Formats: sequence, structure tokens, C-alpha cells
Amino acid sequence: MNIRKWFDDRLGINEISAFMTKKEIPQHKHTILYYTGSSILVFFFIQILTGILLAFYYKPTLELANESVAYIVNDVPLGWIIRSIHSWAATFMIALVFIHLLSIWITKAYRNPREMTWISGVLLLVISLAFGFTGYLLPWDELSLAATKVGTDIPRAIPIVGAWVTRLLRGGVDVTGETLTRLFTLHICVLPLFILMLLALHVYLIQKHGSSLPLDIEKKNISVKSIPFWPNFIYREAIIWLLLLGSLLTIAALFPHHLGSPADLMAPAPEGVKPEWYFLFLFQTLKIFPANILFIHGETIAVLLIGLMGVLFFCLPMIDNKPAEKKGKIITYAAYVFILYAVIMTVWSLL
Amino acid sequence: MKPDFKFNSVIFLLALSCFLLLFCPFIYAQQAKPAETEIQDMNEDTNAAKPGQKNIKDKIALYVFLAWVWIAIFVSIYFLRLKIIEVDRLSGYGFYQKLKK
Repeated sequence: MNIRKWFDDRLGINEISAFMTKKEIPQHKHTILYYTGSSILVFFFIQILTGILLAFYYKPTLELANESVAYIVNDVPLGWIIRSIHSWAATFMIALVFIHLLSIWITKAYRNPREMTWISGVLLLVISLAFGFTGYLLPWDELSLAATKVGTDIPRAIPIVGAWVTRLLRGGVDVTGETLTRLFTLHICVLPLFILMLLALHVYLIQKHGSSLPLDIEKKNISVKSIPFWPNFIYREAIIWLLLLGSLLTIAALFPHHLGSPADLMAPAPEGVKPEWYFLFLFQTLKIFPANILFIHGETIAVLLIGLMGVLFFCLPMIDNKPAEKKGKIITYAAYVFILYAVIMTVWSLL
Repeated sequence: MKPDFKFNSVIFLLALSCFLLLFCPFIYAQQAKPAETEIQDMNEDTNAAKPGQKNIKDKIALYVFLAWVWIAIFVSIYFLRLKIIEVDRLSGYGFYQKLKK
């Protein structure tokens, strides 16, 4: 019995294969940017795999959280590298999500008819950052406790609903075992559910609208060379995936993620508390605002400004809704200014 | 009409690399746990997490393993490059255009 035929009759493998061969990928100077999307997916699957392995041993309670992570690192065979891969893959994934979104911003690939692709992509970025935030507390060490206290305190600056949001996140007035349980549930149940649904929508929209072309090519109406997605493009992607996997494994093995002393709810916050690198520019932005501006709390103004920027970023396709061939230089400069600002603030925060 | 190259070989290479990357560390862990590490561990604070390799033997084994991983990756890339040249040539002849029809 032909196994391929058996599966094809039931799953329609030949139809999928024919669809993949039909799909074309344009070849131009920005083609390298097309590889970022699938690389994010690779890291996402690594996160799922390593996350499941860690969840076999992790215990989300006040007394056992830090102890169970120490057990994973010290006693579980190669637990230290699984944890290190999980942590480093999160860094790789979020870095690639930023690169992916910024490249779409600069090349204007969000324009008609790809507005929904952009919106789903921004939501995926938000969920990826939420994964980072909720995962940071789970080792329950001094630094993660202090950083979560700072992080969950930020929404308090939002007028009217701020205090309620902070209370909702913490499961009480302060960061306690309740917060740990909530963030763990969000990290392994709620966020994966949302990310999978959004990912399915995002991939569907990419298949529906195809790969976008850079503005200069679209403007001049030049015909560009293209290659079939399967097998030509997949082979090229496989090279990138292998290099990224090798880099991830090497970095995870040589620079394993350390675990601090168990968190003490009564102890004062340690010095130099900082969030993960992807929150540093926001953290520094909050720090540079004065205590009060015109009788309004400085932090409130900072949080509202950051929120406004987030909304503008989310609505980018609606703001820049020119025909595809129009340039929209201001939006491009805004992207460069944002990159420069984020880099300067991050470096400043690290100094 | 079917393509005259085998996808299976690349799938095999990818599967092999995945195996090396994901499962060999577990095999390595079963073999490279010397008794001296356990003695050393007992003398240290059991609550303190010390990620990474704890003695020089384990460290060297890790470097050797990483070297093998990179060799496997570069060998896989070499074969993938050959496959890319082959499929690009087929694409240039319009082979996939015919398949679509």
C-alpha cells in the first residue's frame, strides 16, 4: 500500500504541495527580510517545546517556584540548557519580531490590502512582549520579584482604571504568590491560546495577499524575478534556520541563564533593578520624566504618551493610507527616529 | 510528472540536524556525569543554582559537542546549496510552470 497515497486521500497532501509550488516569492534587494517571518516561527516552536519540558518540573507556588527552577538547573539532566535555550530563544524571537515589524514599517508593506496583516502582527508583538513579562517572574528570584513590582506598578499611573489594572495583574495589593499563579496561568494557558489564533490569522493573510514588493519596484512597475516558495525558497530558509539554531544552541550553552537567590517578600528591592532588554527603552523613558509637570504626575503623562505612541503604531495603515506607489517619506523618517530613540534609551539605561 | 530530485534527502538531513541539536544533549547528559561532580555538589550549597558545566571535563565535552553541531550544520548547508542550484536550474527551465499547468 502506498503510504503517501493513503495520507493524500485523507489529508490532501498533493493539494497543499501544489499550492506551495504555485506561491511565488519575489527576488530583489530586500528579499532577506522575507526570511524573518519563518525564523520567528522556528523560535516560537522552540519556545513551545522547551516550555513544555520546563513545565514538567516547574512548580508555581511561593515556596517551590525558585526551588523547582534550581532543581531543573542543578539536577535534571541538561535542564540547565533547556532553560537557557528557552530564555535565549525568547530573546532571539522578540528581536526578530522587532526586525520584522520595523522592516514592514520602512518598506510600507502594511498598505492596502495588508492592513489586517499589520494589525495582527502588532498584536503578535504585544503578546510576545507579554510572554516575556509574565515569564520573567516565574524563577521567583530577587531580581524578577523587584522587576515585576516595578512593571505591575506602571499601569497605576493610568487615570481612572490604573489602580484596578495593577490589582488585577497582581491578584492583590502587592506582588505575592497570587501574582505568581496569575502570571504563570497567563504564560502557559491564556497567551499561547491568543498567539496561536493570531498566528493562524496572520499566516492566512500572508497566504491570501502574497509577499509585498518594495515601493521603488512597485512605483516603476518593473517586473521582478520570482522563485517558487516550494522548494526553492524553503531550501534557502532552511539554511537560515540551521544557522539560527546553531547560534542559539552555542549561546545558550556558553552563556547559560543564571538563577538568583529566592525572592523574599519582606526584603528591600536590590539595587540596579532592570527589566529585560526589550523593555529598557520604555523603562528609561519613564525615568527621564520629572515627578510633576504642571500639577500632573510625570509618570501619568509618560504612560499616556507611550500609550498614544502605541495606538499610532497600531493604526499606521490607517494613518498612511496612500496608494501603494506613493512614497510617504515622513513615515519612513519616523521609523528611523524610533529606531534611533530606542537604541539611545536602551544604551542609556544600561550605562 | 514528478521532479527528478529527491526531497527525502534534504528532509533526512534536516531531521538528522534536529536530532543532533535536540536529542544528543540528553544522550550526552547520561554519559558525562562523573562521580567527582556529585561529590563537589554535595560540598556546595544545594539551593544555589549553578547552570552550565561544573568541571573541566564536562566543559571540554561541551565544546566538542558544539563543534560537532557546527560541522553538521555546515555539511547540511553544503548539501542544501547543491539542492538550491539544482532547483533553481529546474525553475529556470520552467519546470515548475509546467507542473502548475
